[in-house]
Order: sequence, then structure tokens, then C-alpha cells
Amino acid sequence: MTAATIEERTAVEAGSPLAAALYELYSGAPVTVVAAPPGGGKSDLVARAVAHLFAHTDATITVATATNEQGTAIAERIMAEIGAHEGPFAVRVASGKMRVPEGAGSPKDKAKVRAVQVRTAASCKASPPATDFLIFDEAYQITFADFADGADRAAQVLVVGDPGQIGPVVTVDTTAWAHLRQAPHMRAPDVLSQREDATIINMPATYRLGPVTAGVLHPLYGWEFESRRPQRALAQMPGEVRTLELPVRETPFDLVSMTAVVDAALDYVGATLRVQTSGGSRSRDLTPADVAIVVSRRAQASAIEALLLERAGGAEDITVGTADKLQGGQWHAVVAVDPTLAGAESEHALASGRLCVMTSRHMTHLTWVYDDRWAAVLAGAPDAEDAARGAAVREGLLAAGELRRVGAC
Amino acid sequence: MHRSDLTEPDPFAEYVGPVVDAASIPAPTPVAEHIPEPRPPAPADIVWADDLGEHTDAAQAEYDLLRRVEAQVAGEPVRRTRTPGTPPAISEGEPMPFAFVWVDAGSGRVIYRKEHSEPTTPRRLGVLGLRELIDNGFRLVVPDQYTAKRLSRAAAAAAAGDTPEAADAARVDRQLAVASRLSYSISLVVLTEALQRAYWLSADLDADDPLAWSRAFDPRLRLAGRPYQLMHSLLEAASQGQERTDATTAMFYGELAAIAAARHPGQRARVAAFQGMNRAENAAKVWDTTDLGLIGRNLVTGDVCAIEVSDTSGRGFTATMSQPFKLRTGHRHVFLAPPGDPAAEAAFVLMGVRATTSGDLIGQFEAVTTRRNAPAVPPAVTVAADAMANGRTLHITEEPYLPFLRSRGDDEEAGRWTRGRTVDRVRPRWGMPADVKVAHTTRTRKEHR
Repeated sequence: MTAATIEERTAVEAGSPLAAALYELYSGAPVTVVAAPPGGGKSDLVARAVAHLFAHTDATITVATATNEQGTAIAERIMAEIGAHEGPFAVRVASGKMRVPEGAGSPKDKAKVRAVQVRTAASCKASPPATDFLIFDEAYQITFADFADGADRAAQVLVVGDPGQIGPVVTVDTTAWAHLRQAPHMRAPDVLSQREDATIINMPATYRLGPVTAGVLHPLYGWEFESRRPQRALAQMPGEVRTLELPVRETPFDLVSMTAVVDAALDYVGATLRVQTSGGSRSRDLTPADVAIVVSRRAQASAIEALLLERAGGAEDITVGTADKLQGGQWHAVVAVDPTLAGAESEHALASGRLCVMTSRHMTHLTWVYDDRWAAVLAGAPDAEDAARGAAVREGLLAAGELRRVGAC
Repeated sequence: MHRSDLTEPDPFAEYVGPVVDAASIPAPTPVAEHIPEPRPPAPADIVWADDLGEHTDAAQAEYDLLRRVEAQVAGEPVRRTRTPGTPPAISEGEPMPFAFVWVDAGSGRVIYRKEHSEPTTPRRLGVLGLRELIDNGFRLVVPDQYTAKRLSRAAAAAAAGDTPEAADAARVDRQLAVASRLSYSISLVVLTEALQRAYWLSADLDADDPLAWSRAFDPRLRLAGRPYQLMHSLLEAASQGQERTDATTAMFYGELAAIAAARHPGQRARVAAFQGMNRAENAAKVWDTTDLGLIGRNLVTGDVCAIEVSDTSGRGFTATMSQPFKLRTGHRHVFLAPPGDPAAEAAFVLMGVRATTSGDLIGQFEAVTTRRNAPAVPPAVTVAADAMANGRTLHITEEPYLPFLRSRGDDEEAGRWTRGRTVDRVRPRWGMPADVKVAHTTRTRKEHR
């Protein structure tokens, strides 16, 4: 039996978003935007698209990421897709501060060897690569201005990302462009999607979230997507969501509230995870490493970390972080704390991007922690349209989840 | 028809009325941030979101009030920053000249006077005059926000009008829009804002009133009816202070690039203006977080963290950290120290933060050495050990990072994605692989526009 060729290994499935994206690229489309729901297989699509182009063309290919860590991760995925390769390396990390995976070329290796170049968007902006295909991974984390500068010398671009994710930091006062539909500070795919020459491909499924969560998050996305997650459940907690209502406190990092959050997370440790696959069913107990607590403020994270230290059973191994920090991660069980807790009204608390990240990190079960002021907070939000989306998601969570209340003390 | 040359009635005065008040312009679109960690500094890392939200705002307001009460007790403005209230212009040859612009109390018209060059007598200012001043590199100085907004409103109204000057007005409008939205503009100096950066004014005085500032500096000075002299003396006060060269330079060239880009309409120019503003704003943030005069205030916001070193090792040190703080693990940080002090050059990475049961946060720091012939003990560890030995508190902040400003130069090809509404399809150079041809079916969810 002979080993499969690279062309055979990278063959695409009929009707898949990958096939559609590749069709556009081979057809000469200048801009292709692929939008994915959480856990929709973005990185898989990027890695396979790159491997396909590498196998079937002699084109120059560059992959740009928002961060160095994302660059290293995608470089590893692409190398795995390309597999055995005749040259010294198939992927070259071209950004100085990006960690070079084993087997990849480094910035010190001259670019004479044909290899996929992996760089950060910031590096592309400083020195735009002349390339046939420029592929932006996690593209919703890049401003249109950075895209426009970075892609200046690219013949064709493919931008892939999750529109529900938190966008890039913009520290500039952008009110001068507030009336424009296409402005430099906007997320690159949001601007590109409005162009007449753009093809938009929406990925149709999530492989992380269950059907209930997929339905709850729908208001944050412009298209329907379904759950193709294997059947998973916790024996002790039916369904995908439970809700935990706290009494209204003065601050969002009140110690009693944070203690309730810690208790909710510890409920998961030892719970039995049952997974049903075509090969049968498996089960195991959740460990602290399977659990995460996602909050919106670092003061909350600090308080929770301190409280976890006081608990036994490896509680400190529970991951704790802000939505910004945990974006991109996934855990079997997640406790998410509503950013509007204690009536917080800042833009930071109200943005639906943060809500989306917080409610889409779980693979099996979510506990949503809130107090009853959320509706009043959203009613006063300056961006009524975004607030309405946030309200719809919260209503969905409350409708889907089994409610628990923590009494005032 | 409205004309804008200086012999005709001032068009600004006539346009002020019907224009929408700047205060009613919608707030900036909320744009959240993605800050994963750890990773090296990136543009997105410069500002952490409002972590403590309104609680920090309240604490900051309380701090500001306290300082202003101290100024009231002192009976004179108290220095707030070590750096100036308004950044100096960087120039290799002649310094950029000032043009003082104010509203004449008698006529209600906008008038101006250049600092040195002719005319040095006050003249009415029209949109063409304003364009000329900007084109010739004058730094506009206005007494207060009212005047700055009046200029902006007038330019916007003239731009919307059907006059021969509309195109010039639109250009001025775009340029003022950039300058007025920067934290510290070099092109448009608002005196009351610059003074508020540099000094704490007595709590019982109105910090938005230029006359109040003038009286506070010298109660005997009578400049009420002499606007040029008043503005000149206030500009002098606002310009005093120690420069921080790298941030100042970045602020200057960032703004210069943005103002130059704003001469033109269109998406390509907006992208260039945004990038220039981005660099200027990042530099402004550095100006604020590294200013030794602002340490107390920055401790309240968490932009600066006070540390008590408890242990040092060969490569790093451990310290108790003040709260709140906005420092991030995996990121490079620096000590706050006067320019020239070796401590100012020592960089280190916050490796991790551990919470104790008593609520203290302990930071683990590792020194960064970039020099080839680095000393055996890294400078950051030397500074930390010295502070520990002397029981001295150190102040740290994130290492300044100033994003690149791409030089567009004469690159005719620049702007592939911003020049027009579409980009031509590329002529396919490679045949459509059979698997893609077969796999591309109508079952794919796809929109073509």
C-alpha cells in the first residue's frame, strides 16, 4: 500500500465551506470572507485551505494572525495538514517574536525555500508581503486600517473569523467617522463584507456548543447555525445551561457574590461527563482542569483566584480569567458572570462581543451568574441595537437554564 | 454668497447658528478589545479596558478634587505633571510658529494674530485663512474648548455650503476633526486643556476659564481686555516642563501624518489618518503613564503599580503588588524613574501573579536582558535588590510601545483595498483542482454580492 500524496491528503468534501472558499480563491476572487460561529472549525478551515493551495499551486502564501501565539498555533496546524514534504520546511515563521514550532523555518532561514509564511498582522502592516494569497486568521480581531495596510501587496485575500468575538482595541476617538458604514477602526471583515467584490461564506455548524446554546447565541450572528457536537451531558446536571441569580450587591466583585461563583464552579468538579459517539458511550469525572470561570473584570478574577486558594481538592487548577483572556479557549464546564452584575453600565460591561465570548466557552455545560438588574442596565445602554441582542441572549439563557437563587445575607 | 477672504465678513460668525452642537454628536462606537496573554507588546495592549469601570472613575475624581483642594490651600496652581501641558513641536530648522485664534468680544467674530510673522495685528479669520495657517505649519492656539468647537462647527457648516470655498472648508473640517480628537494636539492647542494637564487649579476656580487661570498665576496681572497677551502668557505656562523625547517625537510625527492625510477625502486618506492618530494616541498614553508627577493618579487607575520587593534571585524578583493594577502576565514592564536614571532602562516581564489568603497579590518578575555583553546580574534585579535593602517602594508600568507608522512615500501601488469600491478579479493562474470543482456545490451556504 502506498502512502497518500499531498493532493490526496488535502482533498475537500463536497458542499463544505472549505470547498466554497477554495473555489473562490482558484477562481480569482479578490476578497473572500468566511464567518464562523464559536467552535465552527475556523482554524481547521485555514490550515486545510493553505495545505490545499500549497499542494496544488506554486503560489506564494502568507498567513497573518492577530497575535504571536495564534501564529505559532496555526503554523503547527498547517504543518500537520501538509504532512511529509520534500523541502527543508513547508512553513516558515516570519515574525521575530513568534515561537517557531519544531520542523518549521524561522525568520533566520532565508525565504528562498518555497514555504507558507506565517506572520502577525502588525508585521504585515509594517512591511506588507507581496503574496498571491494572504489569509487572515481570527480576522475579527484586526481593524480595517491594519488589514488595508497589511494586505496592500496581496493579490487575493481570505479572511476568516468569528463575528461574535471581541474586536481589536481602538484607543483613538473615532467620532469623526461614526456616520460612515465603512471606517478605518471597524473590524476588517465587517468592512470587507460590504464590498461588492466580496464573497461571504457562513460556516453552518458549531462542533463545540450544544443545540440549546447554539440557539441562544443566534441573535449575535446573522445566520442560522446548527450544533454538530457529539452528545455530551453531565449526569448530575441535566441540560446545557443552569442559571444562578444573585442578590444585587454594591460592587461587581463583592466577596459574597464571588464566593457563590466559586461554589458554582466547584459543583462541577467530580460531576460525571457522559459522551455518546458512534463508537459507543464513554464517561469520566470532571477534574478542576475541565472547569473555567469567565468574568469581565480583573478585580473579579483576582478575588476568585484568592477564594479558590482556600478550597481543597486542587481548586486552584480551575481556570479563571476575563473574557478577553479566555477568548479562544474551551472547557467542559464554564461559570460565566454577567458583565452587568451589580448594575455596571460601562461600555465594557454592555458590549455583546464580551457576552458572546463568555457564553460560548463551554463544551458541555454553562452556569450563567447574574442579578436581576441586567434588564434595567441594558434599557439604558447607548447602543440600543446591540443591547437588544444582549437582552435576547440573556432571555434565552434564562429560558433554557434551570434557575437557582442565592439568598441575600 | 459667502466669501472667505479676509476683507469680507467673517463666514464663521454667520455659520455658527444652524449647525448641530458638537455635544450632540454620538459617542464613539464601543469597540472592545482582545487581550490574550502572554505575548509581547502589541498595539492592542496599550490600553486595558475600564476594568473597575465607574468605581475607578469615582476614585479618580476624588483624587483630582483632593489635589485641587491642595492647590486652593497653596493659593496658586500646583504642578501636576513633570512633562509640559502641551507637547512641543519637533523641528530641525525653524520652530513651528504659533497663531493665536480667539473670538473678538466686541464683534463676536473669530480673529487671529500670528506670533512673529506678519500680520502681527489681529485679523479676521476666514476658512481660506485658516487653511493657509494649517498649510504653512502654524500651530493654532485657542483659549478654550468653546473656541475650538466654534472653529470646528464653522468649518463643518462652510463645508456643507454651496460656495466656492466648500472644498477648502471640507479639508479644514477634516483636519480640525483629527486635531480636536487627539488627547494632546500639537496643531490645535486648547489652552485650558493644556493647563489642566500641567497644573492643578484651585478647587474654587473654573478650570475651563482662561481668565481664571491667568488670575491664579498672577492676581496682579490685568489681561482681561488683552486676549493675545493673556493667551501668550498662558501658553508659556502650559509649555513649561520636562520633555520625554521618544513619546513626544511619536506624538508629533503621528499627528503630522494624520493631519497631512486628512487633506484628502476618501477611505485611503481615512486609513492613513487613523494610523497616524493611533500612533499619536499611543504616545499620549505613554506620556501620561510614565510621567513621574502622575504616579499618584495612575496608582488609582492601576496604570502604575507600586511594588514592595520581598525577594530577589539571579534572574528575577518577587514583590507584593498594589491594587488595582492593569499589568499583564507575559508582558514587559519598566520602573518609573527620571530620564538618565539606570532604573529607567531596566525591563522585566511579569511572569505570574499569585493571590494570598489575606488578599495580597504577589508578582513574580523576570529580568529582560537584550544587550550582548549583559552584566551578570541584570539591571532590573540590581534595582529590585537595592529597593529591598533600603525598604523603598518601586513604581512600575507597562513598557512603552509605539506602533510603527508605515511610510507611504510615493508608493503608487499603496491603497489596493482603499482606492476604490472594488478590486478587479485576479486572472486565475492555476487550474481549478478537480476535487474543488466537484466539491463546490449549491449545498454550500454562501452569499454572492
